[in-house]
Amino acid sequence: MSYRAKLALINSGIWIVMFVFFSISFFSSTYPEVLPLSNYRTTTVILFAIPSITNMIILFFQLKHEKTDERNKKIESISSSVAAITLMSIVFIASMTLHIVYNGTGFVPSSWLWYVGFGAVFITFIVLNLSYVIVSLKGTGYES
Amino acid sequence: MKVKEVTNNIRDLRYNADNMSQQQLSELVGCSRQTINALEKNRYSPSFVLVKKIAMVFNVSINEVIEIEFDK
Repeated sequence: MSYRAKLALINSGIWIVMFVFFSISFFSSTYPEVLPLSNYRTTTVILFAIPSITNMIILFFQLKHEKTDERNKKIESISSSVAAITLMSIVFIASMTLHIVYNGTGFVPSSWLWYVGFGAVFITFIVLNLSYVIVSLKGTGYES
Repeated sequence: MKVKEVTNNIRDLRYNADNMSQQQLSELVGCSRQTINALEKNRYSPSFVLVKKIAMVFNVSINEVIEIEFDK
């Protein structure tokens, strides 16, 4: 496994752990029918800041240790496409689910938007890093 | 025209060039060692420029670096 793939694996692990904590924090401290509490918001910001800062540190070491070449760019391009499609799918499915569930009442509790917004970003970063690892290990093969 | 099989002779060319290491070749052509490794294992489709650079390092033609067999 290349140095970049190892870092991407570590990064995805951090994002997964933080997403789990974020979900636990959301469902334990906030009842979906009410607005998120102020301490819940602080918790989310901290949980979001940890992987974001780690991401920047990892990027620094990655650029210092291994040069970016055409293969890295191709892998990044594929994993970015996968992440973009994932983000689009999450937003679509979540929006449609909320629409179907709350269609009768006529309004959506705002706390769900909070969860969907942050959750989508968490999952996108997880997919971005994991797809980098998978594509890196599997290889891009030859174009026909 | 569909590609049937792609093979490359980079490993043999390195061996014939005083057993040049992947690291040395990667530095000469300006890519990472992992890219050379992926190329040798047929896990990456290189650009024309990279193939040309590799051919120039070993002073051979592009056809001697990479061989493509097409379905008839």
